[in-house]
Order: sequence, then structure tokens, then C-alpha cells
Amino acid sequence: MNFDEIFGKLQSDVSSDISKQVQFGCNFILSNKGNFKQIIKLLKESFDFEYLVDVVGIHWPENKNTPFEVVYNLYSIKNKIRIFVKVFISDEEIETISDLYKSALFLEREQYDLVGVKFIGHPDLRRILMPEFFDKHPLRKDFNLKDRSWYNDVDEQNLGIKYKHL
Amino acid sequence: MGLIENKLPDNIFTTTLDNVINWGRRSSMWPVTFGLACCAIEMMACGAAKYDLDRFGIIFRASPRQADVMIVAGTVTRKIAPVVRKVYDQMPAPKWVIAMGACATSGGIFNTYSTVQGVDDVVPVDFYIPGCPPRPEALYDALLALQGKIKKEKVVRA
Repeated sequence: MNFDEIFGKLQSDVSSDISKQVQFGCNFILSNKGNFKQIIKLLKESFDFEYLVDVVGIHWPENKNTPFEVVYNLYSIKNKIRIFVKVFISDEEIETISDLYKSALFLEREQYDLVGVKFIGHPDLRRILMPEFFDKHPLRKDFNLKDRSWYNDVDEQNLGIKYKHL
Repeated sequence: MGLIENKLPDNIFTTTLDNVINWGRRSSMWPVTFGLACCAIEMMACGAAKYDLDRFGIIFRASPRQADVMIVAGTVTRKIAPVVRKVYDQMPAPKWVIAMGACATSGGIFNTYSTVQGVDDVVPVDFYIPGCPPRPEALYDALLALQGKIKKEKVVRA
């Protein structure tokens, strides 16, 4: 089963219109907030995509209508095929897929931490990489890479550490 | 040691006593293993068969309570910085710190939001080792220089 066959069957099953794209030797399915979960659910249950490899959030500040994009990297070990499901979102909120894939629990936390996409329905949406007192999202394009001012005045464990660097 | 530390004058007894104490301290420096990144691989290579730190009496301890030296080997991020300080606080005095590699010394290539720009913000550092990562010979140089420093320290003398 190749990508075109899978996409043909998906198109007949999914009610709203979806499109596909083959670029850089990768298979993309372009979708929106309304139908992406149905697509992923169908891919998992009907096409043996048993492995959620990664969830990636991307910030596109120049796209005024859809400043955020979430890409789900799905792999079928049985059929040896990889599909990226791209979802374009206008606000920072998207439905969780952690009820379909348990691996999404940590992957979505990471994207929430770094990009600031909120996954609605996630049971434990906390920061996973940055410290708890950090209140920004460093992988957004408007975050200054060398902004260290956030940690200078914080001594969260009362150890008497004085950070000097800007 | 607390009662007579740095209180006695220089004479034949105190200089000899200092010599004996410093000989003991520098001949069994036990570093706490604080490997944070790739520098830790070089630190492990120092302890392994080819370079063999044991011949200087340097034995890695996994517990800070039994260690004299902390080798901060690798990138210190803001999140691990309180842990570095906590491990340092748990070590019994006298204690020394070696900042191994460019990252622990100055942040190195990681001039970013999450990296502490030099571990000397968090703990006092005795020796800085350049390199990315430093070869085992460079860590040896620092450890032997630290032995030379301990040799000259005053313990009971003022």
C-alpha cells in the first residue's frame, strides 16, 4: 500500500476536503482543526499507523491567518511508510491526540513548553524541558535567543545563587 | 580541625604538620562524578584503563559526601544549576572545583537563553580547562595543578 492509495481511501472516508503534497521525498496530508483527528484516527485504525514518531509545533508569525502549524509524524512499521499530517491553526489551541497515542502525552507537553500550542484535553499539560517558573515559549520566532534576563533574579531553591549574566 | 585551623604561627611543628596534612589531601583527591555532557566522556576516559587516574590516588565517588573535588564536566543549563550548587554544598570541606571544557567555563558555543554562561556563577571555581571537549591530558594538567595548589595551602598556620 503506497501513499496515493492511502490518500484515495482517506478522501472518500473523510467528509471535509483534504489535500496531499509530496515534497522532499516526504508525504504530507494537509488538514485543518476540524478533520485532523479523524484523519489520524483512520490512519491508526484502518491503515496500521501504529507509531507516532513526533509532534512538531511551528510558529509562522508572517502567516497572519494561521500563525501556528502542528505536524504529526506517523509511521507504519507494518507497511514501512511515513506520513506527515500538517494542521494549520489560527489560534494556539488544538485538540489532543493523547487518547489515540500514549506517546503524544510527552510530545505534546514538549510542544506546549517550547512553542506554546495548547492541546485541549491533554490530562497533564505542564512544562517538560524548561523550569516551572519560566513563562515564555523559546521556540517562537519573536523570542530573543540570548534572552537570559528571566533567570537572573530567581533562586527557586533558596540556595543563595546570584546569576550575573544578562 | 576547626579549633586550630589557620590560627598557629610558622614553626617547625606547624609547617611539618601542614606538609603531612597537604600530602594526605593531595594524594587522595576523590572527585564527585558530575558529568553533564560530552566532556564527561573524556572524564570517564581519564578514569579508565588507558589514562588511569587511580595511579594518582584519584578515585571517582558517586557520593558528594565522600568527595573532595567536583569536576563540572559539560554544559550547565539553568535548570541543572541549582543541582550543581546542591552537590557542591553537600561536599565536606576542604573542597575544590574544576570547570572542565568551554561550556562549564564560559557557556561555550551555547550563547542561548537556557545556558548558564560559566559555572562560576553557581560555585567557586579553582581551575578552568579550555577545550571542546578537553583531551584527558588537559584534565590531567588541571588535576596535577590542583595537587600543586593543595601542596601550598596553609592548614593550621595562619
